[in-house]
Amino acid sequence: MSPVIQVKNLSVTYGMIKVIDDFSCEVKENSVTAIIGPSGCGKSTLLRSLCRMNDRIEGFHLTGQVLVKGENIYHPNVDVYDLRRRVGMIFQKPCIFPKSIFDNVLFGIRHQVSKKDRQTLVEHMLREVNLWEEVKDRLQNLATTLSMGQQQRLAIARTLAVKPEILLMDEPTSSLDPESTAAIESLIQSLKSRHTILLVTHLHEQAEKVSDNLIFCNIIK
Amino acid sequence: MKSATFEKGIVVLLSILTLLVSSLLLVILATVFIKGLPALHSGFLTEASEDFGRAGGIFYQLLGTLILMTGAVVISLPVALGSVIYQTQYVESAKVKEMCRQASQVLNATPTILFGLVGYLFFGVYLETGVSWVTGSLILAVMILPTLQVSIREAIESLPEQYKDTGMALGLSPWSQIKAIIIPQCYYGIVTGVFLGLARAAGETAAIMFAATTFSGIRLPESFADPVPTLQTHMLVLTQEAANPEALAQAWGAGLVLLSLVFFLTLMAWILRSRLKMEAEL
Repeated sequence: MSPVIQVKNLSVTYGMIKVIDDFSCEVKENSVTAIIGPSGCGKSTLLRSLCRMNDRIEGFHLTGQVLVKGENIYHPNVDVYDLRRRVGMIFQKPCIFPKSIFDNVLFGIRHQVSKKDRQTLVEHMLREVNLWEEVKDRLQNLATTLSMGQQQRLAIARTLAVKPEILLMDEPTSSLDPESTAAIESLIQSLKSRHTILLVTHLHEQAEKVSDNLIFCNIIK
Repeated sequence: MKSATFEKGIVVLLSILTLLVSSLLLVILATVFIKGLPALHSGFLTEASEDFGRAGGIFYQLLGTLILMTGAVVISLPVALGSVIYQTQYVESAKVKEMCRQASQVLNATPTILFGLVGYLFFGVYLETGVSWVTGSLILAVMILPTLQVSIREAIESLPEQYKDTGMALGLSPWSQIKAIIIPQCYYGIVTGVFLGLARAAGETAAIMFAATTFSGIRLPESFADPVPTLQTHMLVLTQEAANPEALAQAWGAGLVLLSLVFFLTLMAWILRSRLKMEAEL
């Protein structure tokens, strides 16, 4: 089976500062890969480079290649918006819009879904992240009233609604309590069957518990 | 000892200056109220003026002022919104962004009479809009552009950076992000800008008095080429020409109405702005 993501001799600099130096790796389909290492070693930068989230940062420069399903994502002809739909990203702190739970799930795809399909889709997505039972009676409530753990699962549902093949998670549990952390960890396990997951974490325990492969990062000297 | 007395003296001097500024405002407000109140009667806002402003109300003058203000905001809002969105979302160079910001500040500091003059020459004469409410609205639109831009820019720049990251990560194009995130989340900022713009336009109508307004002869504009009567023109003509106390009282009445209008709009902007701050802190 060919790898879904191939990183070849990747180096990233912000202005004069080198953050990633000649890094290579491969990620297999439907697996969970954990990236661990001390803070400041470029874990997040690596993750963000896989869906071109660094593009708008001033001074960002990248050499080497990042291939997603064999396609070089830094090629000038790549549709970057399509790429970001295929490679979804979950952030450390869930960013929920001050809208209803319902609208937050649909945020990325509102115009691609007909009105009558929206209800089913929202239910499906919320079930997928094990949030449906907790919020089914208050879908129209403001999503910002949910707990942090619920917000993170909602953020994952919102990303899943866009139907990404690959999920990048940047320390998704670091702002959550132990119970919510456990919920996200078991969610990662269940998502593995349909998605390829890359997980940045600073918890070795978590990395060993949920991942199939480990990538270690070190600070550049 | 000596320096302590000196320090005390400074404090006294500064407090006197502060008192002077505040009392100046109070004196102006009190004068307008005391002189303006007698002119107000039940039909002052709803009746047309009669006998060359000596009797009746100020209905058409108020309407004219409102037409000019609204026209200015209708023209200015899309320009301000579009330019600020371009500067904040599409321009990447920090230098160009700073230049745009400076340009808008310089525009804000330009003496308003120059807007009136250049605006009249450009719109009224060169584009042949003549002495009309359209010319007035266009000139006012340019004049309030910086006010609107500042408000909208403030709102957009105070949006959490995560909103942008999240929109990007969901694969939204810049235009989709503008539609789905920027405009809805900056709604209060935009509306605040509109109220401040309206207030500024109401306050600045003096600069376009001779490019867009008339004292008599027209009540409601029937075409784009007609001027309108305004509160400012009404006040100016009445105070300059009036030989009797009734006309003068009418001018003060119009002044009071204008002041209340500007005060109301500023208050609305202030209320919305505090609402905006609350949302940003959520």
